[in-house]
Amino acid sequence: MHIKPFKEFKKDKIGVAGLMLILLLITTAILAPVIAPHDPWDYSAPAFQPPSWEHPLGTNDIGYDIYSELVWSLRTSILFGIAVAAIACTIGLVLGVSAALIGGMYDMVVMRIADALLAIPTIMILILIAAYFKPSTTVLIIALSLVLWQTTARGVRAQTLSLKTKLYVKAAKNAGAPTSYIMYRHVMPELFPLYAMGFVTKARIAVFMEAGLSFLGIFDPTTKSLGIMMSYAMRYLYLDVWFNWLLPPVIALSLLIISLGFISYAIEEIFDPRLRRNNATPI
Amino acid sequence: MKRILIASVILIASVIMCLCLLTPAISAAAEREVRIADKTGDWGNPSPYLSYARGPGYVRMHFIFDTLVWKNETAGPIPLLAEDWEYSPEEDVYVFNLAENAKWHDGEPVTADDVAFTIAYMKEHPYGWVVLDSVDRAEVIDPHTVKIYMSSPYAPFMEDIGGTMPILPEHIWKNVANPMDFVGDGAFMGCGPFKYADFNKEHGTYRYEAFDEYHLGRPIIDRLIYVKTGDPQMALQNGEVDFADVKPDMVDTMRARGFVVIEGPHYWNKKLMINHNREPLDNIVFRQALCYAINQDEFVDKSLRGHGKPASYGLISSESVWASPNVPNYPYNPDKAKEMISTLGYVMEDGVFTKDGKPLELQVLISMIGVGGQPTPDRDGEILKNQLEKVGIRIDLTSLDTKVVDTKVVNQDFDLAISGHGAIGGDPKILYEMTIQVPGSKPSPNTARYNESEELNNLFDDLMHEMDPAKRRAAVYEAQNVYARELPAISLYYPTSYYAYDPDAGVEWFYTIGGIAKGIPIPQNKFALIGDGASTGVETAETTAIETGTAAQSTPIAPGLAMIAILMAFVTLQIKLSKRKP
Repeated sequence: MHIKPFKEFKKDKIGVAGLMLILLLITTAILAPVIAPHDPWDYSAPAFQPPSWEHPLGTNDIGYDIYSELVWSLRTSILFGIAVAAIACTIGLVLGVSAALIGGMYDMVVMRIADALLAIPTIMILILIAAYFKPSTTVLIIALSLVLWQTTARGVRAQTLSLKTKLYVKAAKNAGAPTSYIMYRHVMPELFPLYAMGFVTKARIAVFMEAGLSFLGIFDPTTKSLGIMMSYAMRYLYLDVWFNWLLPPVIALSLLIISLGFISYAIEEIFDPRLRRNNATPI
Repeated sequence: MKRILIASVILIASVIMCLCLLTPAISAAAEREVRIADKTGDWGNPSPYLSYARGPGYVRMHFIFDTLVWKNETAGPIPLLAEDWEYSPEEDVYVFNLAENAKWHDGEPVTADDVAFTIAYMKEHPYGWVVLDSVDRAEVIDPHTVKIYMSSPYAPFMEDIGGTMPILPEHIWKNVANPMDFVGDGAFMGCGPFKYADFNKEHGTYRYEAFDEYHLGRPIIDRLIYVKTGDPQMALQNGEVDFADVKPDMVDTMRARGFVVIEGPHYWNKKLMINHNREPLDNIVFRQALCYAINQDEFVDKSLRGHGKPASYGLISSESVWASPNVPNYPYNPDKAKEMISTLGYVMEDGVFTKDGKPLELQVLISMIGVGGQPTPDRDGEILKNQLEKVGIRIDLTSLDTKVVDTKVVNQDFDLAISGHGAIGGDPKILYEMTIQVPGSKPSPNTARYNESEELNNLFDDLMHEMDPAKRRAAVYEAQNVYARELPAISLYYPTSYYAYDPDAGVEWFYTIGGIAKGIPIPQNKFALIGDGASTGVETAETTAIETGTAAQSTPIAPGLAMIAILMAFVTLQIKLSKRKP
């Protein structure tokens, strides 16, 4: 695949919009301790304050500053998304490439496990794990990564198998290049679209999953999370607090998921030959 | 012609006017129906054995079945089926004289045989709400007098058995071998103020019709309906129901909209359960240190937003007539808590107490438990974590489903758990039941299972069996004081619950003193629906108010009819006059 992905990406308006948005959100999350006007775990303020200069989005039922909570929750969501995506992609990449290169019984076993995982609904497994074992956030990140790697592994394996037969790979091999060099120099760059795509998709799933699980109250109730914010706000809807309490986390979560969606859409469009627009610049 | 035209216009106008005046009067006179909203809906068939063993289940049943005695807003026990009664300490017997005009819904009279039968039947087929171990037998003296022999003195008898045991009709139940399966003819027939009309399990609705021959007088309404609704408060505001529970934050709004909001007594406590098998929770000093570390006022301010009250450490509600006047208190004092914990060999390191290199870490189980078992969102877990971490105890907060928390507590698989239960305003035997694991009974998630205190055990013996009121009261007070010192569990606060009703529906609901029957904190007492008959021996100001309300609503008929007559006469006159001058 001989494409200049970044040049292509810059032309894609949707992709650029998604990227800008996600950068903005990530910056907010990183700067959370600076941006947030209050400690999000400090409940000394009076409950149900309307928005004011002191509390830009007001306060909630116990007296947390909603704006500070929102910024810190965004941090949790993004960290969770990135962590899950990174681990799942690494697992998928390692297993996919190794299955393709080693082959045989190992390939069989890894791919059958991937198939089995594809058939199992992820959310169910997570709810079960979360409800019975009450795992910490770290354990939950690993658990989610362990059930999300299969799509990447399958794609990577197929691509590696086809790369193995490419002339330049064979040439490198014949010239005496070690497997690690071939991997690094020839295989990995070619696999970039696969794991870039996988990373963004998995991050999106993870963000959504985290919000969903914490909305259901399965997460540690003391972490700051968009899902927990929403679930508490829902319980006080009768007080007309939706605009300053329920809406902000909903918008934040939507923006996060939309931006990731835009990026994955753009990446797919660039790398999938069937979706490429005519003005793409092949080399 | 012109006159005829004017006359007919007047006629039409008058008819319309009269119709407008009459419609509300007619509908008010035809059916008086009261609807109550409920979130859960299905509480089981409304018969003693089939209703679910929770407060709302008993309430659904109590409209149909009467007990010997009852309670109202201010007094109890007051007559229900029994007109008067007497206890003889020498013989250890109770004698009840039954109301002679009491009838079953099928017209048969209620007799002493029915009472004796009920006691025998419930001894044979145990009924969840009533424990008859202390009752030996019942003897029929004459058709309306029954003598109940006790096998051992049982102090809570009047409230626990007399005021809770529904009397069953012998002519129906004598043939029932398995009460848990009995839904056949007469299964829902009692002698209460309302007759069973319908129960729909799927929709969670109940319908009752007034019993015309009720011995305390016909109910003031014709029909009582329970409706299942996801949002009782909204249903009340939309006029779909007449009575519903409302959230504390909405009380002012509801009052402003013309609803009457009643405030419940504080007979339900949020309680910190403690596992006495684990270190350092088995140590009294540590438990007392926990009390000093806990700021009850902060719970009330933050978790309840002021809609509640700090709890007494003696378990019995501070509003109960049984509350001890000198229960030990633990005013918030984190420094004292730290001091006490350090006497147990713990050393403060980086803000956390450690012993043998291990930090002092406790797991706290939380769930959304609220009054009457209703899920209620609160922030107790976060507040407790914050307070205990301030004194150097690391807290691992785990939020679980209420049933899972209950199971873990029963299996002793926990350190601390935030739980709660009611009945702390009724008979003080709750203190015994919530402290001791009664031998042979199923472990309850609310029982501290604190059996080791000799002092408490002796006091509980008096509390359960002392028939002399003054001596019993002294034992009850002392038991609370010892409880608060040894702390089998730590009561945190009493939330205030609110119900609102539409005053136009004509019923004035109230909270029962000490709770309905054994202490159910739900303001749906059948006495709110009975007319002046129920005030026998009791002052019920509300019933007279309701009577006048009914009169006021039926009055529009008379002036309405008069107006029609006058207008008709006027119109006839007009027409006649117009005919005379052609």
